[in-house]
Amino acid sequence: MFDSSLPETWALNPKGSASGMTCRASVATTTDGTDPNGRTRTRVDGLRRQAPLVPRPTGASGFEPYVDGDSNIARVALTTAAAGPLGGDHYIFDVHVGAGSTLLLREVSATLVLPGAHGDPSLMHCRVTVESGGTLIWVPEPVIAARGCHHTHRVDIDLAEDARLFFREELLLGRHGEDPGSLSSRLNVRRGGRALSIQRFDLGPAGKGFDTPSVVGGCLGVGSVVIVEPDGGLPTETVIADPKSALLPIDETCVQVNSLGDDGLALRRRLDAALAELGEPWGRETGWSAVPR
Amino acid sequence: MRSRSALLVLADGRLPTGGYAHSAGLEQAIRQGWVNDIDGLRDFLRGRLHTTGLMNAAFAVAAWNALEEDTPTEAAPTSTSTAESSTGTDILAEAALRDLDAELIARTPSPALRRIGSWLGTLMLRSMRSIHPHPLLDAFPKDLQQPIVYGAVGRVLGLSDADTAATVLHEAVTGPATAAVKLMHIDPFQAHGAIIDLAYDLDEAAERAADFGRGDPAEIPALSAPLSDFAAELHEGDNVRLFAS
Repeated sequence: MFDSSLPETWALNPKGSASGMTCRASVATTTDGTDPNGRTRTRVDGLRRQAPLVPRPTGASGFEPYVDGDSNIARVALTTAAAGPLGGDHYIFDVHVGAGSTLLLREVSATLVLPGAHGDPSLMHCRVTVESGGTLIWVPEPVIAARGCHHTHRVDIDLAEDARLFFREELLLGRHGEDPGSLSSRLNVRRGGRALSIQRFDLGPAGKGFDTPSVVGGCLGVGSVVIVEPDGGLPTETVIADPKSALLPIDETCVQVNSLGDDGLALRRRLDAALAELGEPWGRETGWSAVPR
Repeated sequence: MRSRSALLVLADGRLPTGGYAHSAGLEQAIRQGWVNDIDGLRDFLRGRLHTTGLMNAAFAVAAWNALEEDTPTEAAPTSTSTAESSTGTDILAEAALRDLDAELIARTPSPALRRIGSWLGTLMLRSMRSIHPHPLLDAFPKDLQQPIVYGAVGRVLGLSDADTAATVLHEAVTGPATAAVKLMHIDPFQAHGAIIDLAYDLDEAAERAADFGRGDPAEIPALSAPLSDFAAELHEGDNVRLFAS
C-alpha cells in the first residue's frame, strides 16, 4: 500500500507547497473534412502549453501502432521544457479526442521523477476523453523513479462505447544502479462509464511488498499495454511467451499486455515481443535498434 | 450465532468451502524458482496480502456495505420458499453487487484468476447455503467473484465489515502458507511462523481495506500483482499440478 500521507486525489495546488509548481497543459483534436480518398482527416483543435509541459505537433517517424504512417491523423509529442516533475510539483495534462478523430501522442524523452529540494509528493494527472469513433494511440516514454522521489502518476481514460485505444506504460525503478524512489502508477480505463481495465502499481519504498515473488520480484522494469479495439479481432486466449510477460484478454474488444524486466531494456524487449506476436497493426518485428520504436 | 464464534468458524481452514484445493499461485511460483525457502514464502505472503489480499478484502467490505443494514442474521427457513423472489431482490440490491463484481473483474487482468474467483465464489455460496441457510444466500447471484460472496457471508453471520476484511486477508495468506508445507521442504511450524510474522501487516491491511470498501467502489485501488497473474496463467497450462491454482 502506498504511503497514506500521499493524497488519493489532489485538488489543483490545494494550499501551495513549500516547493513545487502547478502546471496545466492540454491537447484536443477534431475532424477536418476528408482527404481525396474519402478518409477522415484530423486536425489539432487546441494546444495549451505551460512549462514544463509543452505539447507540440510533430510528423511521423518510426513504427506507429495502428496508424503507421497515416497522413490524415494528428500527431503530438509531449516535451518537457524543464526538469520534472520535482517534489511538490503538480501537473495536469488533459487530452480530448473529438468524435471520429485520431490522435497519436508520443513523448520526446523519458520522464525522470526527482525528489526536488524537500522531497514532497509530486503528482502527474492525465485526464483523457475519447469521444465516439475516436482513436487515441498513446506511446509515452518510461517514467523513471529516481531515489527519494514520492510520485503519483495517474492516468484516467474515459472511452466512448466505440472508441479505440492503444496505451503503453513503462515504469523504471531508479536510474542505473540507483535505489528507487516511491512511485504509484494508476491507470483507470473506463468505457461508457464502466470499468474496463484498472491497474495500480505501488513501487519503491512506499509500495509495501512490491519486491516480493508474488508482485514484481526483483524486477526494476514494470510495463503494460492496454488495447481497446471496438471492431474485435483481438486474441481471446492468453498468450504467455515467457514467465514474465503475458497477453491477457479482458473481453472480445480489449486485451492487456503485462511484462516485467530486470532493467528498462529487458522490459522494452518483452513488451515489443508481445506486440510483435499480436501482429499488425499493433506491433511489428522491428529487430534491434538503439531506439526500438 | 454470535459474531465472534462465527468469525472463527468462517476463518477456519477446515470450513469446507473449496479453498483447500488452491495455493494462490504458490505452486507455480515454486516451480518457476521464484520461491525456494521460508524467506521466499514469507515475502510471497507479504506481497500477496498488500496487493490482491487487500484489494479483495476491500471488495468484500464494499459488498457487505451494499447489503441492507437490517439484513436478519438468523435464518428464516419457513419463509424462504415463498418470500425468496420478493424479499430476495429487496435485500440484495443485485445491481450494486453486479457493479462491484464488474469493478473487481476490471482489476483482475488474468482470465485464469477471473475464472478461479468466480468458481470459488460459487463454491463458497453453495456450501454456505447448506451450512447456514438464509434467504439472502438463497437469492444471491451465483457467478460473482469470491470476495463479493465473502461480503454477503459476513453479513449473514453477523460479522462486522472490518472482521469480514480480516477473514479475507487471513484466507489470502493461510491458503498458500498451508499449501507450502505440501510443496516445499519446510515444516508446518515455519509456515505458521511466517503468518504470525505478518500479523501486524494483516491487521493494518484489514483496517485499510475497510476504509477503502466503505468509500466509492470506483476508487478501490487496483493493487496489481503481475507475477501472481503470470503464475495463474502458467499454472493453467501446466499438466502436472497438485493444486488447482
